[in-house]
Amino acid sequence: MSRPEDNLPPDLFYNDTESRKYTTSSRIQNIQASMTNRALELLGLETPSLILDIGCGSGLSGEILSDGDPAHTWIGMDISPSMLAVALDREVDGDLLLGDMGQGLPFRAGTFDAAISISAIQWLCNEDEKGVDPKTRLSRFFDSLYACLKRDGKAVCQFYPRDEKQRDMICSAAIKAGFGAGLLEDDPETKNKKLYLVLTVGGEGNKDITGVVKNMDGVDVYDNRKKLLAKAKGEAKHGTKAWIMKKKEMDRRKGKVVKSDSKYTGRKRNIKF
Amino acid sequence: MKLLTANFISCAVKACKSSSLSFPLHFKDAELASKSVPYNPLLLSNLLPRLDWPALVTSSKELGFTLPDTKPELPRLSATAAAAATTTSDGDMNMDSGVGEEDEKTLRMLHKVLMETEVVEGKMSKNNL
Repeated sequence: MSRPEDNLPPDLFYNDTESRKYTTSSRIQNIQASMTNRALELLGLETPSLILDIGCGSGLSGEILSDGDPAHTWIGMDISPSMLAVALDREVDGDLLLGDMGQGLPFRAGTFDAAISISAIQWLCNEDEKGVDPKTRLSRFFDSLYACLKRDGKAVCQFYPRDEKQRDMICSAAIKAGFGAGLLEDDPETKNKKLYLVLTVGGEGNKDITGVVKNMDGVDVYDNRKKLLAKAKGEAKHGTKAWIMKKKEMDRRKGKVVKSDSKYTGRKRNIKF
Repeated sequence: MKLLTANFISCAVKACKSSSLSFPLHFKDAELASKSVPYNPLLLSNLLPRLDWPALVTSSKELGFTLPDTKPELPRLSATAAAAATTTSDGDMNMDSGVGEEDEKTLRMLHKVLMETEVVEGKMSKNNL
């Protein structure tokens, strides 16, 4: 399937015809609805909340937020004027903002209880013009998202990465911004696989990201952090004897002249020396 | 745009994010409309601590109505009390739920201002220029 991300920047791709096509297609409506419901399930909100919808488009996901139980209030943001025009025509409940998420979100700190984003953040990886750096845009976006969520807040972003590299780029940008992050993959190994980036902001209940899916059925947890920790432990720490030996070995393999190892290698010099 | 949203928006330009002028934004040539929205006391009591009251007073003054100068204090509603409040207000206006009459009045006022008042057309700018 061709990716719209590869053709044009989002504000130009979703023009009037494309926006209408997108909104009226029952296939897309169904997919969007099921993904929004899944995201809501992951957010696990019990009280009516204020939600930010990033890349709200024509409000397909927003409708589900306002119609659900409890009914949430939402504010949507999108870069495509045509999409927002369709949303206005459809008279959605949420407020709509025109803006580029790669420039940061225009909200006060601690505004939202939660944020969702359906099929949007992969657009941030585009390099549409010269001088646009996806990494800067990603970090600008995640930093401002982190700021505008309240403590204990959660965000769920469904996205379609082009490849593993893009997926890792998005995840590491989120972690760098301070989020606790996890990836949930629905229908893995199939054509319909869906990736959800689950993000948490500090707080007592959010200490561990795996807690989000603790009460859900049919979810296997793969904790990559333990492996990473073990790997970091296995590596020699800078300045230790093991590290010096490793360096010497490396130089030896390069064919450099290296002093031979002895029991004095890597020892501290006596103070009176 | 609801007044609620206006209370949360600040200037997005990176250079002015840290300056005090970036919030609140001021309305200019605003055209108002009223839209009926289901009354939701639980949401309001959740949002109240997060509102910037001076900013809300300023923007509502610009739109031509007045609010008390200090933020009204409300007990945090629990889910059950709020549910009771909505059911009674749908039918007869009995105030024997968890919400007192005075609180109910403030909540209704907040609901009217934050949720039902919409700016349909107008400009937003910072610094009142």
